Amino acid sequence: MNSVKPSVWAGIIILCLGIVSLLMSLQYTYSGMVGPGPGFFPVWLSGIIIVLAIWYILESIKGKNVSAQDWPTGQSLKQILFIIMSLISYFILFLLVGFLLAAIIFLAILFYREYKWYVTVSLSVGITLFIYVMFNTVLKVHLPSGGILF
Amino acid sequence: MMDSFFLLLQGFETALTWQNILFCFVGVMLGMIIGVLPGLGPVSGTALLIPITFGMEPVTAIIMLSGIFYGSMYGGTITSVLVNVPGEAASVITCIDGYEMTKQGRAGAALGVSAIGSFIGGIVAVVALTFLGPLLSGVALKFGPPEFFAIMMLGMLMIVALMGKSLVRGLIAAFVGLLLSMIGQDLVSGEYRFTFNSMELMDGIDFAVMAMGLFGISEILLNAENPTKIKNAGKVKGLLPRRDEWGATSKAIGRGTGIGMLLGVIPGANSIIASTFSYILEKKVAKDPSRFGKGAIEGVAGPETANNAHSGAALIPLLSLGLPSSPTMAVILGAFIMHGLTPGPALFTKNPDFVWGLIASMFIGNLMLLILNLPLVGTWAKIAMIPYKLLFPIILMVILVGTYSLNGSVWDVAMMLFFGLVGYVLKKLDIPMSAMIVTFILGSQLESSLLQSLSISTEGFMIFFTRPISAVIMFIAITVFALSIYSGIKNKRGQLAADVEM
Repeated sequence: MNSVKPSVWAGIIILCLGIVSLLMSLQYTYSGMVGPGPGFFPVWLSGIIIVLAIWYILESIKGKNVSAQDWPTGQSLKQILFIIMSLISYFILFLLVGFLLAAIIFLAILFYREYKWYVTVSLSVGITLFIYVMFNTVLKVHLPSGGILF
Repeated sequence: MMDSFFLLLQGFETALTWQNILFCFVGVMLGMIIGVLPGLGPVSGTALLIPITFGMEPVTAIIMLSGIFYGSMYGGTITSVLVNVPGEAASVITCIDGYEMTKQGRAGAALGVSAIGSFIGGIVAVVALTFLGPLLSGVALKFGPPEFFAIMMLGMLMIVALMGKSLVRGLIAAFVGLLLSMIGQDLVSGEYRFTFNSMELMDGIDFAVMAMGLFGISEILLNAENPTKIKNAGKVKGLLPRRDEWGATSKAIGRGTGIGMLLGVIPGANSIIASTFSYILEKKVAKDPSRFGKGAIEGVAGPETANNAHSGAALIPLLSLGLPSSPTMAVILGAFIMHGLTPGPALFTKNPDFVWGLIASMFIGNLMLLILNLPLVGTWAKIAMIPYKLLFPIILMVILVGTYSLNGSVWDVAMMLFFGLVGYVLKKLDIPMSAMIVTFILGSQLESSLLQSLSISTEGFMIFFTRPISAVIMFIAITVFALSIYSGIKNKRGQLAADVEM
């Protein structure tokens, strides 16, 4: 195990979130003409989140009520990072070259390790075209076929 | 009483147009598929289909979305029984005796009994909705902002108290959900809050984007970690239990219906609690409890009935009070708002066509599911056999495109992916996302009812304790809260406290 538990880090992040939102909330009107203003609820929320975050950090340090879930290591960590990377590359490709190419490449990346290359290609192209046609014609949602590059 | 009956008949008029029948069917079919397939749950499934409903009449849209919800309850059973893999969390308990029965070659009886039980549980719950819904909404019409605030507080605290193993983690989820709902323009004052000067954040975060990320993407990532291996299911023969089992089975179905309905009305008491409770009860009342775990038919009939009765009853607080009792209900509530309907007591009087059409459609939907389940059970088993390595890229693709199609915005896609990662981390930390999405959707209502209460109040926060109805509700809420702190200190939070989607 690391010296600092993940849940302590999570607690610190939530604490920061609470502090930032408290600082922002204080800029909104706390109390208006007819009663509490737009700042009222957020100030209270942020305050409560700060208290809860501190409580959570203390509980985590004491090792009370810890999460039963394990963090991934080795092979499963690789698998997860792989999926996350392919999602991010889809997003970038979608911006650059539009839906069609991005989707085909994204699906191909995911299928490639499990299927032979010709199965991969036909699956990726087939599924992409199916979704494209469905959304553009039946559901009338326009998916861009080009991006920034062309 | 008679009023409800006539209104229901009128509801059938709405529900029986060809269009509504078609989309009811589409809804329950998709629900079955979502139930059968691992890696796609009802929350992300419902959220995913919201863009499709944009062009529809509100009633058609909600008929389809609720069909997905109760349909998935039927579907989840099939894989539990046949291959010992629960399609949905609510069917985990069915694995115990259901899979045992399959090993004894009695898969057909197990599936038949759960389809019949689910049908009975579902129908009785809808009947309860027919008569209780208008009653409850009649009472709630007299409520003012303080009462609504108190009810929402109670709902929130119940969810926090019942979901998740640690109280502090549940509260964190609930309050972060509320904070996220503050992003965007404040409806009362028109002021923009927490937008960081970004154009996209001015409209706030779309609840469907959040639901798909938190529940869709994170589920895929979790599955990637420990892939579920599904082996081939055998042939399913015969759908009825043995003659000597009928008595015990029908009693189990009766008890399951009662438990499911009771727990369905309580916010936060999710369907997994209903099915587990029913299993425990069946074991308690059985003459020979040692049969349980070795293929006792009551162990399948009871829990399966309970989770379906639960899903029907969960619509009672949603329609009459506007209070979602689970994440899927919260997403459906979001769809209500998107279609210009205000959920809450006024719904029954303001949009009777809508409410009664929806209720009537649930009778039809449950009947369709019974037919889909009894003769076609083998086909569903085959769908469950689709290899996951083929499935998950397609699910990801559909989530990506579905998010984009909400507003045609790339920002939404980025936001959804971000919530996907957050959801995965939250799952690992065991912070209940269910609490987060429910409070996120209730956030603006909670704030406006609080502000309204405080502005009509002359004694500040005391208004919640001086008005009798809100005082009682607040008292219950505080008791629930105190009890959950107590159980936290005593470390008595049991196995029931799981974070599940239903």
